[in-house]
Amino acid sequence: MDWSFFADQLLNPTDKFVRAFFLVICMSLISMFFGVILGIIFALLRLSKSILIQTFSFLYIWIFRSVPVMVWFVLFYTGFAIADIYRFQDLNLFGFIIRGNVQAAIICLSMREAAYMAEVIRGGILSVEQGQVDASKVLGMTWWQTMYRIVLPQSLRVVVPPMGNNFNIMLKTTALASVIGVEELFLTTRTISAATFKVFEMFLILAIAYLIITMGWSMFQLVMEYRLKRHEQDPDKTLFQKFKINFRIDNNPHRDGS
Amino acid sequence: MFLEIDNIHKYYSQLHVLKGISTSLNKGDVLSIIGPSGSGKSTFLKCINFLEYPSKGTVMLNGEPIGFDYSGKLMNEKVICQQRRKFGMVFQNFNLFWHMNLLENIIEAPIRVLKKSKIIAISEAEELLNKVGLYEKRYNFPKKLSGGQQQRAAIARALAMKPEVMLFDEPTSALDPETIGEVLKVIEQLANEGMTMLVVTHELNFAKNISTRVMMMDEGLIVDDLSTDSFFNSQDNIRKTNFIGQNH
Repeated sequence: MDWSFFADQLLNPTDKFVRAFFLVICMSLISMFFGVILGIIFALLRLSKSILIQTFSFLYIWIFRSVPVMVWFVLFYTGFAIADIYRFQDLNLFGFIIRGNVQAAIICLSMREAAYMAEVIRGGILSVEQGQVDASKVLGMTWWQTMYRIVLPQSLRVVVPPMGNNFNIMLKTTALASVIGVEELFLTTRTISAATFKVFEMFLILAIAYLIITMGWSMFQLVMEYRLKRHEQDPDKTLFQKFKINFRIDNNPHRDGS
Repeated sequence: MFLEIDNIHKYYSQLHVLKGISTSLNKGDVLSIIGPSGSGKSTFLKCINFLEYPSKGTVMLNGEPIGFDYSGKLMNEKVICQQRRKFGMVFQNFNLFWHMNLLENIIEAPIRVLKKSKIIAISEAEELLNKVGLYEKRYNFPKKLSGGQQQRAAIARALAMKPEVMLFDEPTSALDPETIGEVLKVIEQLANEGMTMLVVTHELNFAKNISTRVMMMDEGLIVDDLSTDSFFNSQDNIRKTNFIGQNH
Protein backbone atom coordinates (compact mmCIF):
# COMPACT_ATOMS: atom_id res chain seq x y z
CA MET A 1 0.00 0.00 0.00
CA ASP A 2 1.42 3.28 -1.16
CA TRP A 3 -0.12 5.78 1.24
CA SER A 4 1.39 8.87 -0.32
CA PHE A 5 0.03 7.91 -3.74
CA PHE A 6 -3.35 7.16 -2.15
CA ALA A 7 -3.49 10.48 -0.30
CA ASP A 8 -2.32 12.37 -3.34
CA GLN A 9 -4.89 10.82 -5.63
CA LEU A 10 -7.65 11.25 -3.06
CA LEU A 11 -6.98 14.91 -2.32
CA ASN A 12 -5.76 15.90 -5.76
CA PRO A 13 -7.59 13.71 -8.20
CA THR A 14 -6.67 14.02 -11.85
CA ASP A 15 -8.89 16.07 -14.14
CA LYS A 16 -9.94 12.89 -15.84
CA PHE A 17 -11.15 11.42 -12.56
CA VAL A 18 -13.06 14.59 -11.63
CA ARG A 19 -14.68 14.66 -15.05
CA ALA A 20 -15.70 11.03 -14.65
CA PHE A 21 -17.10 11.80 -11.19
CA PHE A 22 -19.40 14.48 -12.56
CA LEU A 23 -20.24 12.42 -15.61
CA VAL A 24 -21.63 9.71 -13.32
CA ILE A 25 -23.74 12.26 -11.45
CA CYS A 26 -25.03 13.91 -14.64
CA MET A 27 -25.77 10.64 -16.39
CA SER A 28 -27.69 9.36 -13.37
CA LEU A 29 -29.66 12.57 -12.88
CA ILE A 30 -30.63 12.85 -16.55
CA SER A 31 -31.56 9.17 -16.77
CA MET A 32 -33.56 9.42 -13.56
CA PHE A 33 -35.40 12.49 -14.88
CA PHE A 34 -36.44 10.78 -18.09
CA GLY A 35 -37.01 7.53 -16.23
CA VAL A 36 -39.51 9.12 -13.86
CA ILE A 37 -41.38 10.94 -16.63
CA LEU A 38 -41.59 7.83 -18.80
CA GLY A 39 -42.40 5.83 -15.68
CA ILE A 40 -45.43 8.02 -14.95
CA ILE A 41 -46.59 7.59 -18.53
CA PHE A 42 -46.18 3.81 -18.48
CA ALA A 43 -47.84 3.57 -15.06
CA LEU A 44 -50.85 5.50 -16.39
CA LEU A 45 -50.94 3.35 -19.54
CA ARG A 46 -50.81 0.25 -17.37
CA LEU A 47 -53.86 1.54 -15.48
CA SER A 48 -55.72 2.40 -18.68
CA LYS A 49 -59.11 0.88 -19.40
CA SER A 50 -58.02 -0.37 -22.80
CA ILE A 51 -56.59 -3.91 -22.77
CA LEU A 52 -54.43 -3.08 -25.80
CA ILE A 53 -52.70 -0.15 -24.09
CA GLN A 54 -52.36 -2.14 -20.87
CA THR A 55 -50.68 -4.96 -22.74
CA PHE A 56 -48.32 -2.60 -24.53
CA SER A 57 -47.20 -1.12 -21.23
CA PHE A 58 -46.94 -4.54 -19.65
CA LEU A 59 -44.73 -5.81 -22.50
CA TYR A 60 -42.46 -2.80 -22.23
CA ILE A 61 -42.04 -3.23 -18.49
CA TRP A 62 -41.48 -6.96 -18.87
CA ILE A 63 -38.82 -6.59 -21.56
CA PHE A 64 -36.85 -3.81 -19.93
CA ARG A 65 -36.85 -5.43 -16.52
CA SER A 66 -35.86 -8.82 -17.88
CA VAL A 67 -32.81 -8.03 -20.01
CA PRO A 68 -29.65 -6.81 -18.21
CA VAL A 69 -28.86 -3.19 -18.93
CA MET A 70 -25.34 -4.18 -20.02
CA VAL A 71 -26.91 -6.08 -22.91
CA TRP A 72 -28.92 -3.00 -23.87
CA PHE A 73 -25.75 -0.88 -23.85
CA VAL A 74 -23.97 -3.11 -26.35
CA LEU A 75 -27.11 -3.71 -28.38
CA PHE A 76 -27.94 -0.02 -28.71
CA TYR A 77 -24.48 1.36 -29.21
CA THR A 78 -22.32 -1.25 -30.88
CA GLY A 79 -25.08 -3.47 -32.27
CA PHE A 80 -27.09 -0.68 -33.90
CA ALA A 81 -23.96 0.79 -35.48
CA ILE A 82 -22.79 -2.51 -36.94
CA ALA A 83 -26.23 -3.45 -38.21
CA ASP A 84 -26.45 0.01 -39.78
CA ILE A 85 -29.66 0.84 -37.91
CA TYR A 86 -28.44 3.90 -36.09
CA ARG A 87 -25.02 5.31 -35.34
CA PHE A 88 -24.81 7.57 -32.26
CA GLN A 89 -22.90 10.73 -33.20
CA ASP A 90 -21.19 13.12 -30.83
CA LEU A 91 -23.56 15.95 -30.00
CA ASN A 92 -22.56 19.53 -29.37
CA LEU A 93 -24.97 20.99 -26.84
CA PHE A 94 -24.21 24.61 -25.89
CA GLY A 95 -20.47 23.96 -26.05
CA PHE A 96 -20.66 20.66 -24.16
CA ILE A 97 -19.77 17.72 -26.30
CA ILE A 98 -21.89 14.71 -25.46
CA ARG A 99 -20.23 11.59 -26.79
CA GLY A 100 -22.27 9.08 -28.75
CA ASN A 101 -21.71 6.31 -26.23
CA VAL A 102 -22.87 8.58 -23.39
CA GLN A 103 -26.09 9.26 -25.30
CA ALA A 104 -26.63 5.55 -25.80
CA ALA A 105 -25.97 4.89 -22.13
CA ILE A 106 -28.43 7.59 -21.03
CA ILE A 107 -31.12 6.23 -23.33
CA CYS A 108 -30.68 2.67 -22.06
CA LEU A 109 -30.57 3.72 -18.42
CA SER A 110 -33.68 5.91 -18.85
CA MET A 111 -35.63 3.15 -20.55
CA ARG A 112 -34.71 0.63 -17.90
CA GLU A 113 -35.48 3.10 -15.11
CA ALA A 114 -38.86 3.84 -16.71
CA ALA A 115 -39.79 0.16 -16.45
CA TYR A 116 -38.89 -0.01 -12.76
CA MET A 117 -40.43 3.37 -11.93
CA ALA A 118 -43.64 2.47 -13.78
CA GLU A 119 -44.27 -0.34 -11.32
CA VAL A 120 -43.35 1.81 -8.33
CA ILE A 121 -45.59 4.66 -9.49
CA ARG A 122 -48.42 2.29 -10.31
CA GLY A 123 -48.27 1.05 -6.73
CA GLY A 124 -48.28 4.65 -5.55
CA ILE A 125 -51.31 5.57 -7.63
CA LEU A 126 -53.21 2.51 -6.42
CA SER A 127 -52.44 3.49 -2.83
CA VAL A 128 -54.47 6.70 -3.15
CA GLU A 129 -57.99 6.31 -1.76
CA GLN A 130 -60.90 6.37 -4.18
CA GLY A 131 -62.51 9.01 -1.95
CA GLN A 132 -59.81 11.52 -2.92
CA VAL A 133 -60.57 10.95 -6.60
CA ASP A 134 -64.32 11.24 -5.95
CA ALA A 135 -63.75 14.51 -4.11
CA SER A 136 -61.83 16.04 -6.99
CA LYS A 137 -64.35 14.78 -9.53
CA VAL A 138 -67.17 16.36 -7.55
CA LEU A 139 -65.31 19.67 -7.61
CA GLY A 140 -65.32 19.50 -11.41
CA MET A 141 -61.63 18.77 -11.78
CA THR A 142 -60.65 17.02 -14.99
CA TRP A 143 -58.90 13.67 -15.08
CA TRP A 144 -55.55 15.31 -15.67
CA GLN A 145 -56.03 17.92 -12.93
CA THR A 146 -57.00 15.13 -10.54
CA MET A 147 -53.84 13.26 -11.47
CA TYR A 148 -51.25 15.98 -11.15
CA ARG A 149 -52.79 17.95 -8.31
CA ILE A 150 -54.14 15.16 -6.12
CA VAL A 151 -53.25 11.58 -7.04
CA LEU A 152 -49.58 11.93 -8.04
CA PRO A 153 -48.65 14.22 -5.12
CA GLN A 154 -50.37 11.86 -2.68
CA SER A 155 -48.68 8.85 -4.22
CA LEU A 156 -45.26 10.41 -3.51
CA ARG A 157 -45.48 9.23 0.07
CA VAL A 158 -45.35 5.67 -1.23
CA VAL A 159 -43.16 6.35 -4.28
CA VAL A 160 -40.24 8.32 -2.84
CA PRO A 161 -38.57 5.65 -0.67
CA PRO A 162 -38.30 3.02 -3.46
CA MET A 163 -37.43 5.78 -5.93
CA GLY A 164 -34.45 6.69 -3.76
CA ASN A 165 -33.49 3.06 -3.78
CA ASN A 166 -33.69 2.98 -7.56
CA PHE A 167 -31.58 6.07 -7.92
CA ASN A 168 -28.95 4.65 -5.65
CA ILE A 169 -28.81 1.54 -7.84
CA MET A 170 -28.71 3.72 -10.95
CA LEU A 171 -25.64 5.61 -9.69
CA LYS A 172 -23.79 2.34 -9.44
CA THR A 173 -25.15 0.87 -12.65
CA THR A 174 -23.41 3.61 -14.64
CA ALA A 175 -20.22 1.60 -14.07
CA LEU A 176 -21.55 -0.92 -16.59
CA ALA A 177 -21.44 1.74 -19.31
CA SER A 178 -17.70 1.13 -19.36
CA VAL A 179 -18.42 -1.79 -21.72
CA ILE A 180 -19.23 0.70 -24.47
CA GLY A 181 -16.28 2.88 -23.56
CA VAL A 182 -18.04 5.59 -21.58
CA GLU A 183 -15.32 7.25 -19.56
CA GLU A 184 -17.09 7.09 -16.23
CA LEU A 185 -15.48 6.37 -12.87
CA PHE A 186 -14.89 2.66 -13.30
CA LEU A 187 -13.18 2.84 -16.69
CA THR A 188 -11.15 5.88 -15.69
CA THR A 189 -9.96 4.17 -12.53
CA ARG A 190 -9.05 1.10 -14.55
CA THR A 191 -7.05 3.22 -16.96
CA ILE A 192 -5.16 5.02 -14.22
CA SER A 193 -4.49 1.86 -12.24
CA ALA A 194 -3.32 0.06 -15.36
CA ALA A 195 -0.83 2.83 -16.05
CA THR A 196 0.47 3.05 -12.48
CA PHE A 197 -0.06 -0.53 -11.25
CA LYS A 198 -1.66 0.95 -8.10
CA VAL A 199 -4.81 -1.14 -8.37
CA PHE A 200 -5.58 -1.35 -4.65
CA GLU A 201 -5.16 2.37 -4.00
CA MET A 202 -7.10 3.46 -7.06
CA PHE A 203 -10.04 1.17 -6.44
CA LEU A 204 -10.17 2.23 -2.81
CA ILE A 205 -10.48 5.79 -4.05
CA LEU A 206 -13.16 4.66 -6.49
CA ALA A 207 -15.13 3.12 -3.63
CA ILE A 208 -14.86 6.36 -1.67
CA ALA A 209 -16.03 8.35 -4.70
CA TYR A 210 -19.18 6.22 -4.96
CA LEU A 211 -19.74 6.58 -1.23
CA ILE A 212 -19.62 10.37 -1.52
CA ILE A 213 -22.10 10.42 -4.39
CA THR A 214 -24.62 8.16 -2.69
CA MET A 215 -24.24 10.06 0.56
CA GLY A 216 -25.18 13.28 -1.23
CA TRP A 217 -28.24 11.56 -2.57
CA SER A 218 -29.25 10.14 0.81
CA MET A 219 -29.19 13.62 2.29
CA PHE A 220 -31.34 14.95 -0.53
CA GLN A 221 -33.81 12.14 0.03
CA LEU A 222 -33.98 12.88 3.74
CA VAL A 223 -34.94 16.49 3.00
CA MET A 224 -37.51 15.35 0.43
CA GLU A 225 -39.15 12.92 2.83
CA TYR A 226 -39.24 15.64 5.46
CA ARG A 227 -41.04 17.96 3.05
CA LEU A 228 -43.53 15.23 2.26
CA LYS A 229 -44.52 15.06 5.92
CA ARG A 230 -45.77 18.63 5.84
CA HIS A 231 -49.35 17.48 6.45
CA GLU A 232 -48.42 15.87 9.75
CA GLN A 233 -47.01 19.05 11.21
CA ASP A 234 -48.64 21.79 13.22
CA PRO A 235 -48.24 25.12 11.46
CA ASP A 236 -47.43 26.90 14.72
CA LYS A 237 -44.48 24.68 15.67
CA THR A 238 -41.00 26.18 15.20
CA LEU A 239 -38.75 24.82 12.49
CA PHE A 240 -36.49 23.24 15.10
CA GLN A 241 -39.40 21.42 16.74
CA LYS A 242 -40.49 20.12 13.34
CA PHE A 243 -37.02 18.83 12.60
CA LYS A 244 -36.89 17.13 15.97
CA ILE A 245 -40.10 15.31 15.27
CA ASN A 246 -39.17 14.29 11.77
CA PHE A 247 -35.62 13.18 12.24
CA ARG A 248 -35.95 11.15 15.35
CA ILE A 249 -35.65 7.46 14.81
CA ASP A 250 -39.09 6.60 16.05
CA ASN A 251 -40.98 9.05 13.88
CA ASN A 252 -44.31 7.36 13.99
CA PRO A 253 -46.75 10.29 14.01
CA HIS A 254 -49.41 8.31 15.80
CA ARG A 255 -47.20 7.92 18.83
CA ASP A 256 -46.42 11.61 18.89
CA GLY A 257 -47.94 12.69 22.17
CA SER A 258 -47.50 16.43 21.66
CA MET B 1 -89.39 22.17 -11.16
CA PHE B 2 -85.80 23.08 -10.32
CA LEU B 3 -84.40 19.58 -10.06
CA GLU B 4 -86.23 16.71 -11.67
CA ILE B 5 -85.09 13.14 -11.29
CA ASP B 6 -87.00 10.56 -13.24
CA ASN B 7 -86.92 6.79 -13.15
CA ILE B 8 -83.29 6.24 -12.18
CA HIS B 9 -82.11 2.66 -12.50
CA LYS B 10 -78.70 1.37 -11.55
CA TYR B 11 -77.28 -2.07 -12.16
CA TYR B 12 -73.97 -3.41 -10.92
CA SER B 13 -73.63 -6.22 -13.45
CA GLN B 14 -76.54 -8.44 -12.29
CA LEU B 15 -77.35 -6.53 -9.13
CA HIS B 16 -80.31 -4.19 -9.49
CA VAL B 17 -79.49 -1.49 -6.94
CA LEU B 18 -81.90 1.27 -7.92
CA LYS B 19 -85.25 0.23 -9.30
CA GLY B 20 -86.69 3.42 -10.72
CA ILE B 21 -86.31 6.36 -8.37
CA SER B 22 -88.15 9.57 -9.24
CA THR B 23 -88.47 12.77 -7.30
CA SER B 24 -88.38 16.48 -7.89
CA LEU B 25 -87.37 19.52 -5.90
CA ASN B 26 -88.20 23.19 -6.05
CA LYS B 27 -85.49 25.73 -5.49
CA GLY B 28 -84.74 25.88 -1.78
CA ASP B 29 -86.26 22.49 -0.99
CA VAL B 30 -84.49 20.21 1.41
CA LEU B 31 -85.09 16.51 0.83
CA SER B 32 -83.91 14.09 3.47
CA ILE B 33 -83.38 10.54 2.35
CA ILE B 34 -83.59 7.87 5.00
CA GLY B 35 -83.63 4.12 4.94
CA PRO B 36 -81.74 1.05 6.12
CA SER B 37 -78.15 0.44 4.99
CA GLY B 38 -77.87 -1.09 1.56
CA SER B 39 -81.11 0.44 0.38
CA GLY B 40 -79.35 2.43 -2.37
CA LYS B 41 -79.50 5.89 -0.80
CA SER B 42 -75.85 6.73 -1.43
CA THR B 43 -75.90 5.25 -4.91
CA PHE B 44 -78.94 7.35 -5.71
CA LEU B 45 -77.13 10.49 -4.57
CA LYS B 46 -74.09 9.61 -6.68
CA CYS B 47 -76.30 9.03 -9.71
CA ILE B 48 -77.63 12.57 -9.48
CA ASN B 49 -74.26 14.20 -10.14
CA PHE B 50 -73.03 11.30 -12.27
CA LEU B 51 -70.27 10.33 -9.89
CA GLU B 52 -71.76 6.95 -10.73
CA TYR B 53 -73.39 6.71 -14.12
CA PRO B 54 -76.99 5.58 -13.75
CA SER B 55 -77.92 2.72 -16.06
CA LYS B 56 -81.13 4.47 -17.09
CA GLY B 57 -83.12 7.56 -16.19
CA THR B 58 -83.03 11.32 -16.51
CA VAL B 59 -81.81 14.11 -14.31
CA MET B 60 -82.84 17.66 -15.20
CA LEU B 61 -81.48 20.71 -13.45
CA ASN B 62 -83.16 24.00 -14.30
CA GLY B 63 -84.63 22.40 -17.43
CA GLU B 64 -81.23 21.25 -18.64
CA PRO B 65 -80.49 17.53 -18.95
CA ILE B 66 -77.58 16.24 -16.89
CA GLY B 67 -75.37 13.38 -18.03
CA PHE B 68 -77.68 11.93 -20.68
CA ASP B 69 -78.83 14.10 -23.57
CA TYR B 70 -82.44 14.21 -24.77
CA SER B 71 -82.04 11.05 -26.81
CA GLY B 72 -80.77 9.21 -23.74
CA LYS B 73 -77.16 9.05 -24.93
CA LEU B 74 -74.35 9.53 -22.42
CA MET B 75 -72.70 12.91 -22.91
CA ASN B 76 -68.96 13.10 -23.25
CA GLU B 77 -66.87 13.08 -20.12
CA LYS B 78 -65.82 16.70 -20.40
CA VAL B 79 -69.40 17.96 -20.43
CA ILE B 80 -70.34 15.74 -17.51
CA CYS B 81 -67.30 17.05 -15.66
CA GLN B 82 -68.53 20.62 -16.16
CA GLN B 83 -72.09 19.79 -15.19
CA ARG B 84 -70.97 17.97 -12.07
CA ARG B 85 -69.74 21.16 -10.44
CA LYS B 86 -73.29 22.50 -10.23
CA PHE B 87 -73.72 19.92 -7.48
CA GLY B 88 -71.70 20.29 -4.32
CA MET B 89 -71.14 17.01 -2.54
CA VAL B 90 -70.14 16.20 1.01
CA PHE B 91 -69.00 12.69 1.86
CA GLN B 92 -69.25 10.50 4.90
CA ASN B 93 -65.44 10.34 5.19
CA PHE B 94 -64.92 14.05 4.40
CA ASN B 95 -62.30 13.24 1.73
CA LEU B 96 -60.36 16.43 2.27
CA PHE B 97 -57.10 16.44 0.35
CA TRP B 98 -54.74 15.48 3.16
CA HIS B 99 -51.62 16.89 1.51
CA MET B 100 -53.04 20.43 1.52
CA ASN B 101 -54.02 22.68 4.40
CA LEU B 102 -57.63 23.82 4.77
CA LEU B 103 -57.17 27.01 2.79
CA GLU B 104 -55.42 25.19 -0.05
CA ASN B 105 -58.18 22.58 -0.02
CA ILE B 106 -60.81 25.23 -0.52
CA ILE B 107 -59.05 27.37 -3.15
CA GLU B 108 -57.89 24.39 -5.23
CA ALA B 109 -60.98 23.96 -7.39
CA PRO B 110 -61.93 27.65 -7.72
CA ILE B 111 -58.43 28.35 -9.05
CA ARG B 112 -58.02 25.27 -11.24
CA VAL B 113 -61.58 24.76 -12.43
CA LEU B 114 -63.21 28.19 -12.30
CA LYS B 115 -59.88 29.92 -13.16
CA LYS B 116 -60.33 32.47 -10.41
CA SER B 117 -57.36 34.55 -9.40
CA LYS B 118 -55.60 33.41 -6.27
CA ILE B 119 -56.36 36.62 -4.36
CA ILE B 120 -60.09 36.39 -5.00
CA ALA B 121 -60.16 32.67 -4.27
CA ILE B 122 -58.39 33.18 -0.95
CA SER B 123 -60.66 36.00 0.17
CA GLU B 124 -63.74 33.94 -0.68
CA ALA B 125 -62.28 30.91 1.05
CA GLU B 126 -61.57 32.89 4.18
CA GLU B 127 -65.14 34.14 4.19
CA LEU B 128 -66.41 30.56 3.95
CA LEU B 129 -64.04 29.37 6.67
CA ASN B 130 -65.37 32.15 8.86
CA LYS B 131 -68.88 30.98 8.17
CA VAL B 132 -68.15 27.41 9.27
CA GLY B 133 -66.06 28.67 12.19
CA LEU B 134 -62.66 27.44 11.05
CA TYR B 135 -60.90 30.68 10.15
CA GLU B 136 -58.28 30.20 12.89
CA LYS B 137 -57.53 26.69 11.61
CA ARG B 138 -57.01 27.70 7.99
CA TYR B 139 -53.34 26.70 7.89
CA ASN B 140 -53.90 23.36 9.61
CA PHE B 141 -53.79 20.09 7.76
CA PRO B 142 -56.92 17.92 7.74
CA LYS B 143 -55.44 15.01 9.67
CA LYS B 144 -54.68 17.33 12.58
CA LEU B 145 -58.35 18.25 12.99
CA SER B 146 -61.34 16.55 14.56
CA GLY B 147 -63.94 14.85 12.40
CA GLY B 148 -66.42 17.64 12.94
CA GLN B 149 -63.90 20.27 11.91
CA GLN B 150 -62.94 18.26 8.84
CA GLN B 151 -66.55 17.87 7.80
CA ARG B 152 -67.21 21.59 8.20
CA ALA B 153 -64.16 22.31 6.07
CA ALA B 154 -65.45 19.85 3.46
CA ILE B 155 -68.74 21.74 3.38
CA ALA B 156 -66.85 25.01 2.89
CA ARG B 157 -64.85 23.42 0.07
CA ALA B 158 -68.04 22.35 -1.69
CA LEU B 159 -69.60 25.81 -1.23
CA ALA B 160 -66.55 27.50 -2.73
CA MET B 161 -67.68 26.19 -6.13
CA LYS B 162 -70.99 28.05 -5.72
CA PRO B 163 -73.11 24.94 -6.37
CA GLU B 164 -76.79 25.13 -7.19
CA VAL B 165 -77.61 21.96 -5.30
CA MET B 166 -75.87 20.40 -2.32
CA LEU B 167 -75.72 16.64 -1.86
CA PHE B 168 -74.89 15.31 1.59
CA ASP B 169 -73.96 11.64 1.81
CA GLU B 170 -74.37 10.68 5.46
CA PRO B 171 -72.41 13.72 6.61
CA THR B 172 -72.46 12.79 10.30
CA SER B 173 -72.17 8.99 10.21
CA ALA B 174 -68.39 8.95 10.72
CA LEU B 175 -68.39 11.55 13.48
CA ASP B 176 -68.05 11.34 17.25
CA PRO B 177 -71.39 12.09 18.93
CA GLU B 178 -70.06 15.30 20.47
CA THR B 179 -69.08 16.81 17.10
CA ILE B 180 -72.25 15.89 15.21
CA GLY B 181 -74.04 18.97 16.49
CA GLU B 182 -71.60 21.50 15.04
CA VAL B 183 -71.89 19.94 11.57
CA LEU B 184 -75.66 19.74 11.69
CA LYS B 185 -75.75 23.41 12.67
CA VAL B 186 -73.81 24.36 9.55
CA ILE B 187 -76.12 22.29 7.34
CA GLU B 188 -79.16 23.80 9.02
CA GLN B 189 -77.79 27.28 8.42
CA LEU B 190 -77.41 26.43 4.74
CA ALA B 191 -81.00 25.20 4.60
CA ASN B 192 -82.18 28.46 6.13
CA GLU B 193 -80.27 30.39 3.49
CA GLY B 194 -82.36 28.67 0.84
CA MET B 195 -79.89 26.17 -0.56
CA THR B 196 -81.48 23.27 -2.41
CA MET B 197 -80.26 20.14 -0.71
CA LEU B 198 -80.53 16.37 -0.69
CA VAL B 199 -79.40 14.86 2.58
CA VAL B 200 -78.88 11.17 3.16
CA THR B 201 -78.99 10.79 6.91
CA HIS B 202 -79.70 8.54 9.84
CA GLU B 203 -80.50 11.48 12.11
CA LEU B 204 -84.28 11.43 12.07
CA ASN B 205 -84.69 14.40 14.40
CA PHE B 206 -82.41 16.43 12.21
CA ALA B 207 -84.35 15.36 9.12
CA LYS B 208 -87.55 16.41 10.83
CA ASN B 209 -86.13 19.84 11.65
CA ILE B 210 -84.61 20.93 8.38
CA SER B 211 -86.44 19.06 5.61
CA THR B 212 -89.27 20.25 3.51
CA ARG B 213 -89.70 16.64 2.42
CA VAL B 214 -88.58 13.23 3.56
CA MET B 215 -88.07 10.22 1.35
CA MET B 216 -87.60 6.70 2.60
CA MET B 217 -85.90 4.11 0.44
CA ASP B 218 -85.64 0.37 0.85
CA GLU B 219 -84.13 -2.22 -1.49
CA GLY B 220 -83.75 0.28 -4.30
CA LEU B 221 -87.34 1.49 -4.20
CA ILE B 222 -89.08 4.50 -2.74
CA VAL B 223 -91.15 3.48 0.27
CA ASP B 224 -92.53 6.93 0.88
CA ASP B 225 -91.85 10.46 -0.34
CA LEU B 226 -93.94 12.99 1.53
CA SER B 227 -93.77 16.42 3.10
CA THR B 228 -92.06 16.25 6.48
CA ASP B 229 -95.19 16.60 8.57
CA SER B 230 -97.22 13.99 6.78
CA PHE B 231 -94.21 11.66 6.58
CA PHE B 232 -93.77 11.48 10.33
CA ASN B 233 -97.47 11.61 11.17
CA SER B 234 -98.94 9.09 8.81
CA GLN B 235 -98.80 5.45 9.89
CA ASP B 236 -99.73 4.02 6.52
CA ASN B 237 -96.64 1.93 5.91
CA ILE B 238 -95.46 -0.86 8.20
CA ARG B 239 -91.86 -0.79 6.92
CA LYS B 240 -91.65 2.94 7.51
CA THR B 241 -93.13 2.88 10.99
CA ASN B 242 -90.81 0.02 11.91
CA PHE B 243 -87.77 1.93 10.66
CA ILE B 244 -88.74 5.12 12.43
CA GLY B 245 -89.50 3.18 15.61
CA GLN B 246 -86.08 1.54 15.55
CA ASN B 247 -84.15 4.71 14.86
CA HIS B 248 -85.81 7.16 17.17
